[in-house]
Amino acid sequence: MDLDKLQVNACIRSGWQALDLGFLMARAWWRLLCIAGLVPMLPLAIVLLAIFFDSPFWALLVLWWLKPFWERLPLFIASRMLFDEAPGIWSSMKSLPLKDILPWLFWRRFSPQRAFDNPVTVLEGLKGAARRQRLRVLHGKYSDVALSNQFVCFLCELLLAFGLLVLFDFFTPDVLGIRFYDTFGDLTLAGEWLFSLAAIIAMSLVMPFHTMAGFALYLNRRIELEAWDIEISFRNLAERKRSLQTPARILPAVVLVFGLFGAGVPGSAEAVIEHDRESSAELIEQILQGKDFGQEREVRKWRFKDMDEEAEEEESFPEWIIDFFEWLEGSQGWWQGLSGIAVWVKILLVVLFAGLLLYLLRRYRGPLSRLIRERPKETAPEVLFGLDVTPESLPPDVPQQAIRLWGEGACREALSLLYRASLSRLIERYELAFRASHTEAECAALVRAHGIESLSEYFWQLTQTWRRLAYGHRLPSDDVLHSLCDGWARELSSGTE
Amino acid sequence: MNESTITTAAAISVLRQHINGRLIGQAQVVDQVLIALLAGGHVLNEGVPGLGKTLLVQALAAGIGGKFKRIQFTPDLMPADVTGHVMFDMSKSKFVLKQGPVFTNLLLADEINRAPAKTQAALLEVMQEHQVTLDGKSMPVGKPFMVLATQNPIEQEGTYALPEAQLDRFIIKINIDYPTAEDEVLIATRYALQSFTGEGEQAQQLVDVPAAQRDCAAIEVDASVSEYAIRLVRATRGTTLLRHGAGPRASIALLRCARAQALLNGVDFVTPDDVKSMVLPVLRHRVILAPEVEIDGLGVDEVLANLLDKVDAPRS
Repeated sequence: MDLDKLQVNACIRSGWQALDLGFLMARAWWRLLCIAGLVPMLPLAIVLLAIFFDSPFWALLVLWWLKPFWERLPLFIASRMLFDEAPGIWSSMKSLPLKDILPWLFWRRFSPQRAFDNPVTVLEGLKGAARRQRLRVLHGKYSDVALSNQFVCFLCELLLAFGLLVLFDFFTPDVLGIRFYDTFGDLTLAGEWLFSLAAIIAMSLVMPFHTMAGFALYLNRRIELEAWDIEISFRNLAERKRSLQTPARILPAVVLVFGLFGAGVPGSAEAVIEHDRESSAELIEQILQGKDFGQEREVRKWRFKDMDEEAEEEESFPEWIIDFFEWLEGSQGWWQGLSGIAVWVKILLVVLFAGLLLYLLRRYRGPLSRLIRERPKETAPEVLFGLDVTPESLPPDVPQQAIRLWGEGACREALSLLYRASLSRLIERYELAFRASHTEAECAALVRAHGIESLSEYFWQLTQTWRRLAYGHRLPSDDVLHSLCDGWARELSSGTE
Repeated sequence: MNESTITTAAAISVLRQHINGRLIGQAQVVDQVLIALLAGGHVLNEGVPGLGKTLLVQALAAGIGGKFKRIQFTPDLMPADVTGHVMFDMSKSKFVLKQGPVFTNLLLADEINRAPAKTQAALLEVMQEHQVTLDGKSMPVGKPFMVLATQNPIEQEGTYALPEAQLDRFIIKINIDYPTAEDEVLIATRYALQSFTGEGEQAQQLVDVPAAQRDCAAIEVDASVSEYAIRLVRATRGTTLLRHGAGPRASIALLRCARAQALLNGVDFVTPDDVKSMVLPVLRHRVILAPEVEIDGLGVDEVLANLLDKVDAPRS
């Protein structure tokens, strides 16, 4: 890695600027990177599409699943081109590192920061604990940017695939008789083929941008951590200084002479170094005592106690958990031997969990169904249809009072009292949610829905009689009124609960 | 309840059974058509084709011993095709009157919104006046006279929507829905073996419609119930959910329909339930939803049901 040949300007960028740089790199080397992505993919695509001729989605799925593999060659080539090398595709393929590919195709397949993490595996060749340690250092504040890169590129791929599908569909003449959708909008076999091809094209087109954006993020982080920009600046400075010295050739000679002289007396060299240290310490002390550094000020201000730090410490993962997972990762071989048993254990656990769930649902079905059926209680109305339906407004003996009113000729008042008292008692005793907008028949329907048949029958009879009097101006006979009063005493008086 | 009303209620019950025996699974629609007939109004039907609208009218015509005619509205239908016209008879050397299909008792105006406005207007004039003026002479149409116009809720392309003023002439608007699975099995089984149209059915006068209409008009309405009907209609005017509320004609229609509903139930007075049950069919075509409500995907029936919940029932 020769920093002098670095093809990009080494400076610290924000995550989003780094993504821009990645896209710029992808645009600059697009053709080569695209070919590098297609060369290994195309032969397999042809073979798979031929095998899965009747269901090309399977071929697409396999190709899509192998994406981490296709991305390696463009990344490898870009890393060489970054330092002004011109690698050939075939030579790059030969020297392409394939180790650690399986994790990328299985449990790291859906890693949301794949493009950012890939260089650590492909270019640095790290794996296991070293890789984890390295990623921990690299990720820092760029994790979310890497995640966005993955998400945006995925969406672009999807849009491009569907766009191509629709474009082909629109431009396919009807006379050809090719139908990509059936009547219900489902893809036909031709449609599946078209979509698969469109998806493969979209994948190849977007892949260089996705890979390069991740690579640029990785590069940016390394520039930041390893101070490439400072190193390059020093190098440039040294170069400029060297070019200004006359004659330049004297310096190596002087160094050589001093070097030979010094090498002959190692003891005195140490003494010189010791002397330098002492004088340097004095010099530092003098500078610190100077006016720039020697001042002391007392500043008082409020600040929080160290509670946050303590809390943070508590919240962070304990060491033993990290050690445990590292141990798990390190002993994969041993665990793989147990994978067969693990599958059975997993099935057993699922069955046990499902059984437990069913048992709990059965055990608590009553309370659960009540919970589902229960509704928030509505406030009981005090006035309904202009009638005061509060218990306080009722006489102590409602049937007796009704008969008394009937006898005095106040027929409407008598029946009104009976009806009002019924509503009041139904609200009080059965918490029926009567509303002011409910008509008499709707109230009767609510009572019927409550499920007490005798009460429902009585209330319907009372409602009919009341309606006939209130709206039809038909007086009921004495017998009917007495029957209603008896019914009220039977169904709704205080003692009939 | 007087003798005449009892007889009428019984006859209507027989007529209802007669129609329900032919049109299966649409009992509510049958009731509403009978209500419109008793209230002396016209019906606007909305439903997809094939739900038995023609069969309904044929069965009704047969049940009241009346004549039935049908007009299929098309974009080239002219007013004279509806009302009739005067033509010169060469053999007699004089002008003769050719009566249109409106001279009947029950007229099925199929897909009324497919005809242009002037043809619709010609029909609506007959609906309002119950008479046609041809060659300067006014001629009454049949008695009773009821129009059952239909609209298709789908295929709105190339149609002429009825203006609100004309929609107001229909006393009720019925939304016909698909029958239940059990009813559909019954329909398929029955009409696989016999004629579906019911043509040629022997007409029999089960109900004397003009007399029934008179009985209906005599049904008693308490002041509190009338006031309830008015409050329901007025509630459509003061809400932001509706761009236009219903007019006073809606109040009249609501009370007429409530009377008919009471008669159908066999009682001679109107209850608030009769009024409430007729609110949707009477008002749904007389109000216009506010644009924002329409955007929210709410329908007229939902908004009216919401308003019904806000109007207190009568205080007796």
